[in-house]
Amino acid sequence: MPSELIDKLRLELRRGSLTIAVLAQLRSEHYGYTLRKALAELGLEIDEGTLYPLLRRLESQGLLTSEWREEDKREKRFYRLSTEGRAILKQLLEEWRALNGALDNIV
Amino acid sequence: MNTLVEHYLLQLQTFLPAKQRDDITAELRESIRSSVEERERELGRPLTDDELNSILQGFGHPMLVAGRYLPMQHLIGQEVFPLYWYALQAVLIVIAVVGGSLAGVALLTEPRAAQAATQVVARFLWIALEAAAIVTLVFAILEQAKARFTFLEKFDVRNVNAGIWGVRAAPLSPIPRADTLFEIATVVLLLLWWLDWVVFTNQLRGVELRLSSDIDPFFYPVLALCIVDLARLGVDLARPYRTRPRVALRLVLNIAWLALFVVVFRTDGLIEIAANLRADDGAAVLRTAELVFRGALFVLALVSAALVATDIVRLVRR
Repeated sequence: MPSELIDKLRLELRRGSLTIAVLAQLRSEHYGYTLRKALAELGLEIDEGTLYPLLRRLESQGLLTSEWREEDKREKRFYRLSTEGRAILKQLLEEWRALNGALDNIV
Repeated sequence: MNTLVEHYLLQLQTFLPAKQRDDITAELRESIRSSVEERERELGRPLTDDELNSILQGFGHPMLVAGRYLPMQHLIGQEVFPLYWYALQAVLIVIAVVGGSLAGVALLTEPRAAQAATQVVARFLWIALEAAAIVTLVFAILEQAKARFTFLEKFDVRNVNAGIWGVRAAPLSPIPRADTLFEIATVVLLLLWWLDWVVFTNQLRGVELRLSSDIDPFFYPVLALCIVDLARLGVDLARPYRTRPRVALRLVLNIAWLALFVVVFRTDGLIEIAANLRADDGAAVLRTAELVFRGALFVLALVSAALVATDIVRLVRR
């Protein structure tokens, strides 16, 4: 039970952070595979089953733009932060920094 | 591409929404391909089926992966849920009261009492299930329509504290909503029966019974008590806390109910035979019916007395 509980709490904690991380990383263009690799190299592991639906959702919300393009003779879908996404990311980062600062003070 | 991967994607496609099916599959195929190529570069050889299987397992079960692409991730969200939960509770309480009353009547009047009561309970279990499904469906539709319950957002605690009909009084204790709903369902059922809008079985062992004209003087007092009680319960629902004036009102009403039950209990000949279909032991059946009726009145009087005592304690206690 304690391990199930910690898994559930960890999931809740990660949910919002993943969105910020994906938006921030997409300030430069990536396709799914390289985005995942880039996030993992920076210390944030995210599985494909979570990443790709998240990309779709963020795109449908207007925060990302995407296009299919050929690279290395293969069609790949490239994502990038939209203008609206940039503005939202700025606000989210402010929110996250304030929250982080408050948590630092508390713990 | 490897048949294992194609099998995986094929399974995934069966769960995906038609509009996005090809697009999502193409993107995931590319991602799987990149993962496989990277692993093959690390090992310097093609992957075995076990290794490939392990990569696909990392992507997740096709149904779970596809589920994350669905526009709808939950049936009822956390904003709508409290309202859904209380609505469901209200509907189930009403059904339980009606079903319980009908089962009780069946137990007292039907020849095969246990069988009849079980049938009533079984029927009401199905009704409860159907009602729960309908309530869930309605709230799921509201959730999808992104309905906003503005009355919840406009909540103003000053309204709650504003008093009722000009009477302001300090709250004593909260009134559980489930209790109020139970009481409302009971009084409404009594009222409907009293007005003949709901008819319970009036046959006992082949003898058709009815209330005699001696009950007529009680018609308006019972009607008035039901209406005043419903108004009081409506206030309880809107302002779910006890105050001294409201406890006092409930005390007066329960004393009235108690007095009424006692007077009716002491009145003879309230039930008469409307038709004797078997033309035999009519008198014995009438005696049994009187006994059951008086028993029910006795229980109701006891409940009223208990409520009177509770209200007196509430008023006396500081």
